Amino acid sequence: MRRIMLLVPPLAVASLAVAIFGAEGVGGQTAQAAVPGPAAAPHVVKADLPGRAIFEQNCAPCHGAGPGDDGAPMLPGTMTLERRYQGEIPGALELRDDLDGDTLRLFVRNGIGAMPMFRKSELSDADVDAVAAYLKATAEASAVK
Amino acid sequence: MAVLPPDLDAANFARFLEELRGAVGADWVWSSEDDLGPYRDSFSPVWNQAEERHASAAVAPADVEQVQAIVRIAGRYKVPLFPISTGKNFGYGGPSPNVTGSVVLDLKRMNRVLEVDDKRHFALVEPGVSYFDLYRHIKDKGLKVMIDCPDPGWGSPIGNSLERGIGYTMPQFRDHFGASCGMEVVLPNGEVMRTGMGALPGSQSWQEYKYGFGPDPSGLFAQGNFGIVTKMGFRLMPLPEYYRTGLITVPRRRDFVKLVEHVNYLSDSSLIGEAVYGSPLAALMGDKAFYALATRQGGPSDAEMDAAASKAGLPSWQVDLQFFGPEAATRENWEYAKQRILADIPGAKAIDGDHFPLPATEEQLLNTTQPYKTGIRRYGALGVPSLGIWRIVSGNGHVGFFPVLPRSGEAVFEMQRAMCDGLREFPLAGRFFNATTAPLYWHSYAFQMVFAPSVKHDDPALNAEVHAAMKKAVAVAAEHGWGDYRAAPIYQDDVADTYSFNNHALRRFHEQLKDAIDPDGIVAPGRGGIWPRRFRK
Repeated sequence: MRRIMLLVPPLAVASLAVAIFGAEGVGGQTAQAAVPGPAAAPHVVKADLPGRAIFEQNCAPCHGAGPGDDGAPMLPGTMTLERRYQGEIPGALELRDDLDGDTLRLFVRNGIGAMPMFRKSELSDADVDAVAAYLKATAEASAVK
Repeated sequence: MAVLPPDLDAANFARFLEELRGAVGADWVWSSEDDLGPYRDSFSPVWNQAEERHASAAVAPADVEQVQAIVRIAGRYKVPLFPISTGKNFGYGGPSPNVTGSVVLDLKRMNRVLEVDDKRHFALVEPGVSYFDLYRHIKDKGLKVMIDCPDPGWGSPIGNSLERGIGYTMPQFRDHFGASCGMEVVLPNGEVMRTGMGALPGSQSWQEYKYGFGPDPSGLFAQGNFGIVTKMGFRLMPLPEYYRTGLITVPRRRDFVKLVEHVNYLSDSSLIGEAVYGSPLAALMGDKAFYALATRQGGPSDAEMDAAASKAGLPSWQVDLQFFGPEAATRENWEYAKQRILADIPGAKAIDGDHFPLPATEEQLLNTTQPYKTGIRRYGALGVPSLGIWRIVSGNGHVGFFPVLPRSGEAVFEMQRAMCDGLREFPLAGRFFNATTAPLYWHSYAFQMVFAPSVKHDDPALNAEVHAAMKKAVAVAAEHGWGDYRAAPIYQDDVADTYSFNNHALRRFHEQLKDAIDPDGIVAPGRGGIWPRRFRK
């Protein structure tokens, strides 16, 4: 039976946050736990499917495979998953071939951790299915299992 | 369905929903618990508590005519509507309403960029347009304008500005409501109204002259509940030719007073973009002895803080400056800022930062080449929407209290001390208010500080502490003349209560207006602390 991994696990951080914005410190960089994973952004061969644009507009700003802002090695959602999986499976969703529409929908509609829920007005069930098809095809094209 | 609208039974609610379906189509009305889950506030400190506000349904119109139809149906059934734009008002309530049983009027489908003019420098958009959408539109069409966006780019210019949200570029654009110009509003009776020059048929200057003639009611729709904004114009900055940064540090705690005065001058003279203040001493907060000093009852003395800075070999304060414009102008303005500040504050130092032509390259956007540790978040600084900021969101999010204070060093010291002392019973507060806390220069002519503790859905004890601390923070700040600028529905009454001059004359005026325009509370009753007669206790 295929194992389903959480998209965004609850963050294993102190229950009371280091302050947002103000307590980031003068460097503007929040202290982060060590993040395993590739030193450079992984190679992603993007499948030419309708879900690509939906993913890029709705998911990739957090779950893309590229670097994060202001020196962060990864985008927030990817980094969170990378920390959780510790290299066991990819943190970047575009390298995941185990996420079908129902699995994605579970997290999209319910949110998890710092990821809020998405409404049908912004991401329809059909959109989620299209993203799932895109992710699977992209992961396969990128030859990562 | 989990909840019903106020004063409506199940049979009439079913009839109401059927009318909504007739107006917008069955696919765009939701009332099941599953479908309404995403309309909860995922950042709520009262998650699964009695105080949490729940919608009874949601409806997503495609155009203004459908908005009008929904408002008229709601009026017949006296059902409160709670309009949202993209629904991303996280930290301030998300898409959840003030009144349980409200129907969320979800405007996400109204997502057209109606116009962007890069010769007259404005945009006209619908509520469902996100900052990502507007940025993409401008890029795709090669238009020479720059937007000013908040940290998370999935919010909407209309929703953010109606919350009086902010960005990070030049002063006249950072205040998003202040940079708006002209709006279209569906009133509680279903009529469509346009403000400013939009009220004059045939006018071509709706997005250029916001006042028109006579009173301008547009301010009533920001943090208010007098109508549903369906179009709104925004001024845009012409894409600057060049971007330059620089850092100023000052050695002593009291130097901050002069530093702020100089930066106020630079900002009010339109010479700089957002100035990002910080204290390098914040890096010492992990040290127990320093933490105790910085959070001590009554506050530390200047001499003690200066001794700590000297021992650590750190300056007491720094400010990141940013310059936009022609290359030569940015160079001269930075030189002027350096000369002005270094000549007046002994020991002040300046470091030249990154500078490059705009638009920035992908590499420049990543902000990895500053020769010093910078507080600037470059995507925001250059008006490029992103979600990179989500890296600092922990738990299930946070709530936000952002008291407004004067732009002076003395006021900063006073807020550090008073808020730290006033919230001493909440250990979490010391991380937000201490002797190293720097002001935020988001709004163009005022400072703010931030109290944004995190919450967790499965930790009601933590959430209760956060909730109590938030209410106490509002009260402590008000005792000192500081007010919150924006609040989640669960705190809006508390905050509105603090704006109480002359026996709450402002609130009573708003209530009079609300009673005249919307006595049954069809549009967002309670929003901004304004309740119509029907809902007033």
